[in-house]
Amino acid sequence: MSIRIWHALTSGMGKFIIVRVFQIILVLYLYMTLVFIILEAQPGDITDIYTANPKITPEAKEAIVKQLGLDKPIHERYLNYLRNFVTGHLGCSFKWGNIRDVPDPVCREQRPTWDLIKERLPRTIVLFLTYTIVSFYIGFFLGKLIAWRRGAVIEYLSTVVGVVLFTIFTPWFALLLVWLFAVNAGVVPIGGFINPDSWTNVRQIGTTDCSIGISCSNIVFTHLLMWLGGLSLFWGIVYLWSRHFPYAWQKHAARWGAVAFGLILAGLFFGGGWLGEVDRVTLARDTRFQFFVWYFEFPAGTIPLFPLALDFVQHLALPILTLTLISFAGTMLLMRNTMLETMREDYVMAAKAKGLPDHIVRDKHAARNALLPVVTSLIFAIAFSVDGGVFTETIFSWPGMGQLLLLSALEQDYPVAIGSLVFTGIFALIAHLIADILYAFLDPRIRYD
Amino acid sequence: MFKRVKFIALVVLLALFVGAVLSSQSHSVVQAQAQKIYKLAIFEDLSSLNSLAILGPKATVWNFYVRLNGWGGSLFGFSDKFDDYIPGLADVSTEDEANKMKTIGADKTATIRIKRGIKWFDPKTGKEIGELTAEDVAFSFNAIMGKNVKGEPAYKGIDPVKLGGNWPGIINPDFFDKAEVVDKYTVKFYLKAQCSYDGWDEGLLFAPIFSKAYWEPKFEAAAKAADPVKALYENKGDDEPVIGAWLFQKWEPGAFAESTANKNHYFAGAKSVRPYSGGYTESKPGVYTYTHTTKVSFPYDGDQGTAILDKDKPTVRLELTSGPFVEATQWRIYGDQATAVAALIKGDVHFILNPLGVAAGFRKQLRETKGVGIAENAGNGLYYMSFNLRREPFNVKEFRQAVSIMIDREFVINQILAGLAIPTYSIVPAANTGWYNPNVKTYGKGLKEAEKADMAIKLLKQAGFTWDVEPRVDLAANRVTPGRGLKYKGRAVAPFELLAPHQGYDPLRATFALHIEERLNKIGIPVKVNLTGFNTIASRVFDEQKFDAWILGWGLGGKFPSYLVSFFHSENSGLGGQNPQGYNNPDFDKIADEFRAACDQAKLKELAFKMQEILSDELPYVPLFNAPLFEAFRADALVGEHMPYEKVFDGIQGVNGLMGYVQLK
Repeated sequence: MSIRIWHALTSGMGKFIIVRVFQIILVLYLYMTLVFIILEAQPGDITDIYTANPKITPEAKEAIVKQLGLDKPIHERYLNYLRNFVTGHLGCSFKWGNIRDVPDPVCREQRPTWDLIKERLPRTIVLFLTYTIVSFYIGFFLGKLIAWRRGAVIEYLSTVVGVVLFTIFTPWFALLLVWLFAVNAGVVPIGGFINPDSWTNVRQIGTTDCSIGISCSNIVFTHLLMWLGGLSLFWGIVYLWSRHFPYAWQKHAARWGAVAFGLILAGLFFGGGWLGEVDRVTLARDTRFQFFVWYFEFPAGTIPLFPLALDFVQHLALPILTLTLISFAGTMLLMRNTMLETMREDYVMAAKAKGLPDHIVRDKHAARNALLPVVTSLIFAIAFSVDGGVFTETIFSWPGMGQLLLLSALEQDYPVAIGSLVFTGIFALIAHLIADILYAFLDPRIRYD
Repeated sequence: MFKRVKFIALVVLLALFVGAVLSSQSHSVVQAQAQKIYKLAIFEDLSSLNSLAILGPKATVWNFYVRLNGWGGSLFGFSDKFDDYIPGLADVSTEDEANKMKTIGADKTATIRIKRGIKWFDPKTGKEIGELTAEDVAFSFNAIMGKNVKGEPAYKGIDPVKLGGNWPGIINPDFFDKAEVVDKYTVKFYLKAQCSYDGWDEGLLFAPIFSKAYWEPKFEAAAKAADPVKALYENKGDDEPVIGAWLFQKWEPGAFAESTANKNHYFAGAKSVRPYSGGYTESKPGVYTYTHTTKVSFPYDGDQGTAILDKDKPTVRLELTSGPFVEATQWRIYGDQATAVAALIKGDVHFILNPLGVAAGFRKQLRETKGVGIAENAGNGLYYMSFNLRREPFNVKEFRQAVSIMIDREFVINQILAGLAIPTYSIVPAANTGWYNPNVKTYGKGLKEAEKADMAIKLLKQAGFTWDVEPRVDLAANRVTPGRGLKYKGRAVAPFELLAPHQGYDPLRATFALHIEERLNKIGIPVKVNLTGFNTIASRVFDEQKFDAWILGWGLGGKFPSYLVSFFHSENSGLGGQNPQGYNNPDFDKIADEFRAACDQAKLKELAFKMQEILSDELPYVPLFNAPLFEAFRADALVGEHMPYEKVFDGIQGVNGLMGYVQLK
């Protein structure tokens, strides 16, 4: 048995993965060092934010420098940073103070970087993952279509519109959409990820107490993420499993049954999950709550998670629309080009010659083989979705990783800036590895011997 | 068949999504007004809830606006808008009593009595949890000095300097010794000097009072820790008792914070009146009264007692009743100004709270929006150019004067910057009428370019400067033919670098820098502008002192010009000090020392004027401009007593967006 494992590890894919993991560790170390050096090379430190305030004396600034350990030599700070990382700690923010009842044992009066990432990450993932998937799906679908109908009006139209949107100045376009849909039409919120009026008196979710400074919304966000992930996985498995069914009606029954089952399950959870201690003020402030309390006859002071989850969905609508519009063209053009290449292949010709219907040739023979570069691009996009987007998050007041990175870099909160960059770096490196492995699965011609 | 079902299912799902998004769009302002929630836009999240830390290293404007607003109280303070020096927690009913009470005796002690019946409230439940006593007051001062309530050393490792941030400015350890409880409502202060306006009148007497019951155990625990300061700052601080008007109730990081009104606080319903004739009265029937009759109790407002910027209304009656009149105040966090402006236009917020005010690009749009008001006020700041006075030729007074003459502030502001700033010739802003010396020298003001060049060249020649090719001035044609090869006493003046913030950080300062470069080079002063990041300038100027000249700005904080000492006293010229230019004038230092030690307000004013006269002649700083503050609010939603506040030095934000007085329609 052990010989078999050894053989598996030292040949082909196993060997490749081991070598790549070592390379990743080396690259990560170099990346971390580079990030540290670049940020440390910036002039000044976090106390520069007090430079324009004559009331803060040089002695008081010096005291802050000492408290933050910025008076220590750079090599000592570097070693501390590496030591922290190896022990699973991303360091302590200079700017953010402790907001927990029980402070972090290492950071104490400061807030741990990981704590900030943990708070911001779900919000960024929800926004950017959703937009990435939506945008890729639209790009893939349109790319496939315009390649198949080369020279048709739809090709010119999609290409022109897509390229214009792809090259548009993002902040301007985002503000334009805010202006149109949020300010003038008033159909979506202007910014932020929640409506304060809905959340202000939410003190407890299920059995979890979310006191001041602890993000109640993140609890619902995490539920939402878990459900999205869980349902996608469930539906994916059912889809793959049902492919082997001999009759079409069996496939459809299984797939639609799974969709209905998943939605009912989610509906029961979000519709029936209790919120405790929501007082009358909250109920009075948000008509949605009143509706749910009245309709489902929930006991006074309690509401289900559904309206809160819906609140996110409303706030997601405009950023996702904006991001999708400005980015789908990338996937569309990539898909179009690879599809055009694939359509010239002999097997596509053979499939057509066999008399297969057009959509089968297009979807199952051409598009599937044209998918490889698109999947690679998707994987990297997903990996970098943890990074957020500085412009998008700023304009839509979406407090995610992009905003955190921007603020920490501007205010010289090195531990948070470094932590965010390293975190993104790790995801990017893992994505590389996954892409390499997926290549082998998607294209049987690729072997890592 | 299945295709049709699929299509129908997709349409239904899409319709549900769109319906959900559209149908439940909450009409937040409508609801807020029904609920009377005052909503303010802010641009950054809180970084701490711990009030000690917020006054220390977490001293951001956002923490101050949100967390410390209406949280506590101090013994004395300034009246709203007019800045009369009035009692806060101190128990006095007349101005004479107040003056008597805060006068430091020959034995360097002062005894302060506090009002009876002021309650502490639990911020979470809003319930009363005890009375404010002398123990709280004595503890608040002693603990920061590392002493217990009796004034004995108790908390090792804690002092104002170690606490950092604003603390040394609030409780100056060179001035304050200890406080002692005399009886339940009386505290005796032991000081190290008989007077210090900065240390006492606007120092200790303005310091926040903390709850002893809440903080004492935390100080005791901290004293036993390896690092007491860190141990103090690690307290979350969200449950700290308050005596003020607001109970901090909710903070959803990254999204919003909210305080609910504490309508039972001591000063709720108190009425203050400032009649046309001057003077000030404040009272709460059956609880307390305070009156002073002096037309101007404090020199800030100038001799006429005018409201700042209300030039056409020399005296203004102001009558205010302390609220809160809303149920809650909500701070919504926006990522950038464009979004906050959109939120104001839509009516999602009532006021944009921003230390920089509303940017120029948005003002026209806001002015044209029905229901939106814009308040324009003078800001309490200074934008200046300065030099490394340790080096030649910057140490030559005439050289600095020539530079100041050559800068055409009015031209830059009116012709290039479309009037976005106010030309300035003094360190103290002209709008700070009580302390501004109107007789400061204004080199080159009102002259044409050629006249300026002529005057500057004469001054330089007088000081011993020569040129390889002397610049030529044609006064009649208002033309200057550039010179080159400037020399000082035979030595060539090497090209020097002027550091200034780049366009992205501040277009005003960058524009001024380019103008200065152009004008100085015309008369042969070899300057090269380096537009760079703020951090680079701050680091090179303040931390390393490796620079020739720079342009930066100060937010001057309070109106009392203690910064005249901080910026120009030679003792502050070391690395990291606030006098990085190295200005060293023994005569100025002497006046600055007198200023620090003076108690009498008339004397303080005289000395401040003298310092300004010296500085306007010596020009260690060349003042450039001040930026007025534009603030936007929903005039159609706010009613009641906010309107007299539209004009106030340093903006509506200086009074925390009027949270205590604002009423909603």
